Amino acid sequence: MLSQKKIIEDGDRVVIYAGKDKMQVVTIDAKSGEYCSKFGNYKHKNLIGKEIGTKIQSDNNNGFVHVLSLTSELWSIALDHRTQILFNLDISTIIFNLELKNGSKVVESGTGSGSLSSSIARTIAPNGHLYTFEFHEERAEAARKDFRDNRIDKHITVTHRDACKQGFRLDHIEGMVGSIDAVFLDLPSPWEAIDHAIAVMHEGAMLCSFSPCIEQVQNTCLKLAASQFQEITTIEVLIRTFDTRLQEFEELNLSNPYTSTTTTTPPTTETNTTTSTSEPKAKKKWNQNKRETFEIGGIQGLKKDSLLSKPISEARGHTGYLTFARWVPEN
Amino acid sequence: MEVDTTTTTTTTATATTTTTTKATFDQSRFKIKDGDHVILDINDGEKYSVIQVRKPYKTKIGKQQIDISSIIGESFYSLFQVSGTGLKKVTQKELEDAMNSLTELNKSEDANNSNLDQNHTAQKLSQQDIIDMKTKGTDSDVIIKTLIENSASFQSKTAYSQIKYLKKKLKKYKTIVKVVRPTLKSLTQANYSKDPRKICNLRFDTFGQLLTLANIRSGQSVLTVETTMGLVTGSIAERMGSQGTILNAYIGKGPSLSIVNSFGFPQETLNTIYPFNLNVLDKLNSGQDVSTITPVQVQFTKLKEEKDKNNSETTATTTTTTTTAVVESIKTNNNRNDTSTENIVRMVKEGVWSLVIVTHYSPLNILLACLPHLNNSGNFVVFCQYSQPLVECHQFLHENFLAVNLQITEIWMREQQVLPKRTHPMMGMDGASGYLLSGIKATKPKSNVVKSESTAAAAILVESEPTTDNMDTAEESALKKRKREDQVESSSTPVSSTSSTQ
Repeated sequence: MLSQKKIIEDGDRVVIYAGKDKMQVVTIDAKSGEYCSKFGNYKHKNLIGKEIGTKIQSDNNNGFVHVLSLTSELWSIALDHRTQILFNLDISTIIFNLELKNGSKVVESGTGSGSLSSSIARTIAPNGHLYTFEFHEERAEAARKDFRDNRIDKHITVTHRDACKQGFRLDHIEGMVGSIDAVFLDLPSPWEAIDHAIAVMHEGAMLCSFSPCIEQVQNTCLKLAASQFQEITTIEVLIRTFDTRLQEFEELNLSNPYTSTTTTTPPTTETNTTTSTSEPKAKKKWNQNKRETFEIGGIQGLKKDSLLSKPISEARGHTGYLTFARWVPEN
Repeated sequence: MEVDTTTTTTTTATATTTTTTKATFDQSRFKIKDGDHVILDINDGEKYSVIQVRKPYKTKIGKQQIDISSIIGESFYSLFQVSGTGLKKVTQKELEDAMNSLTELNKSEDANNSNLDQNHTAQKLSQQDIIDMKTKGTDSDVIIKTLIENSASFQSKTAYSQIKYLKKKLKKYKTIVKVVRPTLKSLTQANYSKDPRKICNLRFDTFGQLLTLANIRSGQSVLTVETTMGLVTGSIAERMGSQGTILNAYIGKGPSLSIVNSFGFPQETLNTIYPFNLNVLDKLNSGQDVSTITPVQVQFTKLKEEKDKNNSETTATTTTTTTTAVVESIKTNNNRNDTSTENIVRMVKEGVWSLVIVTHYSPLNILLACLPHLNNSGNFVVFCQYSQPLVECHQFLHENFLAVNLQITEIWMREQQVLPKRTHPMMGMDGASGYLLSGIKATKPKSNVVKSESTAAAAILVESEPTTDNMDTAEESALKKRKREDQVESSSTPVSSTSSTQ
């Protein structure tokens, strides 16, 4: 995940991209690897030596896919959802507000499906480190395997532990306690983990808590304010994705009663004027070829292709509240 | 936020115990040192000023020149109160205690605003009385106390609105300065609140998403085109932390990267930034000679002087003459990047893995000028305040099969007020995040590019035949045909289609 190269080689971790929601993460296996879907069959050995990111024709020539290098963003879309996962926008906002960069030392609890962990690792590598805690043993193990497969395991330490009870201290790792730049909590009762967080943070370090319910936020904020945290802010972020397409759009030729005052055009030619003035110059570029006239109920109309964009109807209404705070001990 | 005092005392105790256990850890990097760049956050976001702590340690806060030497050696994020012409360290607790000691809060439950007059007669003191007190140098606490005593309505207010009143008055008569470390977050905040137009109205959440979508990571090669005074370039440099390459194509007479200085980067981080004229890319794309463009050598701490120098010259000068002037002004710097045109061309030709465009110019032509130099499978992100220009970019990339996972997005962000029994979304919110176009470059294999024009064109026709991933609706089948024709017309390589279409 942390290296990109131009040519596909044996053993590479790549994404086979057949569409926005048709992605699969695979490890190139020259011996027996094969990817089969309705977009055709692909033997891995035939992918080797091809340029990454280019369109690749299937072995039986009945389709094509793109092979892309694995990024944290594609991973968070394609990964195996063991839990409710954090989405890219929340992840971006967390990383931004926790001020993470190459070299940051971070604590995360719980690991969940490892979607945020991968993005954090991408940002803090190679000089930083992520200590992630998961109280579900199987999930911790699955996350370890994913991190190994994606070759980010040397930047992440996965610990199977109930952080609310046992805290975040890893005393066998020298210099861990007191060096933490940022703590991220995604727990049912985050306020129980705040004292544990303080135990490993340095002064001026950031904390973020992600909670879907406002009652959790309320408790967390009270606890934060009582524990010498400042800059306590709670925000929610939602994303709107736009559907953009060149689409047939019908326009009725109706006389414009407001043009007569500004132009001296006689009413007979008014239909012409209307069509030309109502089209901004930028749009003309796209409807160069297709123009058809039609008639409906005695009104003339013009069919043409327009470049249109609207938000997609299916959208997320809520993910969770993000509470950020900085620990500034005053004594 | 108000806190139950009993909990405060208990947790303070735990906090002290934890600090003693980790006393071995080196704390010096959290202290403010002479020469550090800092942001002074005045009265909780009312104003920000980005300065370097150096002799004679004077800076303007409010209307006064204030001696800030007392902040040296203190921790970042500490609070200071302006007293006289200097700064005095204060703690959050001291401020809260001071506020609580001003007056007894109303404990009655049935206080309400039914008797509140709207005619501004509640305050018995005249404007002149208050000004007199201020000019006499009366302590802010005394002024506020006098204001309360002379307010007819204060005692009938609820405790909540009394606190609100006090906080408002405190802000007016007290100046509290918080010393913040400059980071991409704090600099974004400071610049966004100061003058968002200077950073292209790039809001923090959109910026965070942009850095994520661009797959910014250490060791990466990134191409940036920006008119945010270096905020974008500097932020990428901060994320990468001295490892990687940032090619910054500037638009205009010279690089405009003044915010990069505010980060206070070490030299090895500054050395990851390679500014060059966007003209180099344009000339490369159209096959012209690039050697006529004079390279720019940049030492970041001198950027301000360069700018002044450039401004004093006639505005109608050509790129060549002004850049020569810049080169002369900073020739003394030995520890610099190789920003010679040959080196830039070499790096550009190697290809970059990320492309970030944040400008106030129309994005399509800039995007197309840069795209040939982005490696296949590399991420690109374009920010624009308006959606229409990005819709055009989206359509062009889609029509010409230049990218996958194309997306135009907008962010909705709202802050919450969280207080006991009074939690609700903030009344005011920032409604315009701007728009992001993101995608992954994915084109035909390079081998097709070297083929003769006709074979390459034929190859497109063949490749377009099978069902494509993102264009499958029946109504679009007619459009497909036209698109194919367009593509053949504009020849096969992305490079030449750029020049011919525009």
